[in-house]
Amino acid sequence: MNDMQRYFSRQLKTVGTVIFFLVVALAECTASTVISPTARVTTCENPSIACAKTVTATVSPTGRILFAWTVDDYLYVNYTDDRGKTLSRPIKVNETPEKIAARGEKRPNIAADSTGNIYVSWIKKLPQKWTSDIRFSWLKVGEINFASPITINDDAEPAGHSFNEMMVSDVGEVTMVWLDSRHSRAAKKRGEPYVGSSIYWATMNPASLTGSPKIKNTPYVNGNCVCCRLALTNIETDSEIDSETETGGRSPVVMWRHIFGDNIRDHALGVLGEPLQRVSFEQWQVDGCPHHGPSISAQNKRIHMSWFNDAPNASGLFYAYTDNLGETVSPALHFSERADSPGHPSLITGGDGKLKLAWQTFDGAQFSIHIMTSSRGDQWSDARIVAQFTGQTDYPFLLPHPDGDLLLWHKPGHALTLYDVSTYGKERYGKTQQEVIQ
Amino acid sequence: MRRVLQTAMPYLLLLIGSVSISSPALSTDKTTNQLTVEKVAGVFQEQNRLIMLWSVDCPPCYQELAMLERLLLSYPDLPITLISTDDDSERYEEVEEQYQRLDGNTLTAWVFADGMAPQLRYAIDKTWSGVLPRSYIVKAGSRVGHSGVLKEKEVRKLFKLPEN
Repeated sequence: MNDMQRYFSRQLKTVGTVIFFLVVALAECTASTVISPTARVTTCENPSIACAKTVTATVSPTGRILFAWTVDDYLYVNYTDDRGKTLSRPIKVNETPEKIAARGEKRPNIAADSTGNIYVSWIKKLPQKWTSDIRFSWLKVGEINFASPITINDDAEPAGHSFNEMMVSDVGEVTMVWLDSRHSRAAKKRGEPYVGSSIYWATMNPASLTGSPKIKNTPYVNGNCVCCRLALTNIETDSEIDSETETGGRSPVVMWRHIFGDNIRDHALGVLGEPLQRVSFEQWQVDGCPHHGPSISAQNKRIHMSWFNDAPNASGLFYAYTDNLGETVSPALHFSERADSPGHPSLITGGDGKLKLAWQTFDGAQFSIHIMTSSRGDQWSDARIVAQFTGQTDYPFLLPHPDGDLLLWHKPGHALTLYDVSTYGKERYGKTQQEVIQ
Repeated sequence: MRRVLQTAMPYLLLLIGSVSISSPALSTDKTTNQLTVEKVAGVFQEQNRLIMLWSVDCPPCYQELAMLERLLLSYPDLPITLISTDDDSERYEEVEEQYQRLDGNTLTAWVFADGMAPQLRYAIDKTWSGVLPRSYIVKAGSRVGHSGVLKEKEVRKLFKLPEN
């Protein structure tokens, strides 16, 4: 169909099995070699996903898994159509090198629509400290090269624009949301106090863009935490679908760590453009950078939420849901305690329509990835460790997939690893259920 | 926090009055002050010190560092250890830039060894979630942690310095 697919057939193979799950591993720079799931890659002669510090993935409506990753100031995209058995050859997104943020939660985003178009956004670091631009490009189906990158933020003065999140509708309507420091920097210049940062958002249809378009930026809220990732999804609404644009019927919902009152770092939720609702209540008071952001997933009109907090009497990971966009919230389930050094929850509504929640813990030497499952969030299975590793790791990301959900857990310097976690939920759910507790 | 400061104060007073800091001055060699798990115990063994952890990715940390820079102009011998949690060799230059601003003081300065942040966080304090800035008062063989920006008045009180 396009160049990526032609390259695809040249690339390779490797399937490994571990005790509880199927692991598929591949490394393009050692493409002709069978690699064990944790095989270390010794050379990075070509752009290699194995050598990237972070890997972000998405699953297209057809089940294609697409990856975005960065090596040496270039962003690359490749994909697999067979759940990781073989990977396509990477395509470079930006022809001109850029300082691309790719560590921790500051990482490229990738999305795909039902037509097969691929969309990427990333943070381009600028010379001045804490200044950066939100960049965007897309690969139209049938074309070989990504479009020339454009800058999404529309402010003239350098400012911080980071922690970008992006989603794309089936018809290619792109929604982006990010942390924006333009107001705080302006206030600082005026010598005025300013708490936290701001959230901005933009929507566009790349197919209708020409030349060097200026994308309209819309401010959403002020006073949010400056260094935690955002979480973005969309939810069914009662609005009617426009038959011409095929838009409507769903609304973008964002969750973030907000600053309430005197540095209370709890979480807020809101439909973009509408008032926020506070959705977590641990009362973590800190004048600092938590570096832990939330995860959300929509299941029809219910929004499921997971987050980290570190209040003296409520520290660890939490889960709750809301059926009315945060007006009321279920009691929070405190599912991982501080003593386990938990972090980075990844919450999805899987390909089977059920919930999966993954997170990492660390015991001083070894990382463990835990997963638990639920039908609707009222009750959860017991948690089970599905992967462990000693060494450098990226964060865990669950990927909802029509043929069974997957876990992406990248280990820089090692072959890319996807874990098949689809059978876990089917076998385990309902055997041991944990009440949602206050 | 107030109770911690009150408890630590006698030790810190004693230290300021009588101890000469044996720690090295800041080094421009990016490889010399990398903190490894093996070195953590030694760093936290030195008693009656304020240990401050920060990152180039943490804007509030720079409020704390700016406060410290002001304070060190008048009190260059404060018994303070700085540790950058930037465990990425590509960021060491930014870390060094900040440390250069504080050069000439008797601070001890460290940066996390490449790729070792989780292990080092755990070795320092397994209950520390990674929130920054983070600080510890080390005294009498134990340490007390604090999350968030330290205010100048808190540090002045800790070291029994006159109010500004």
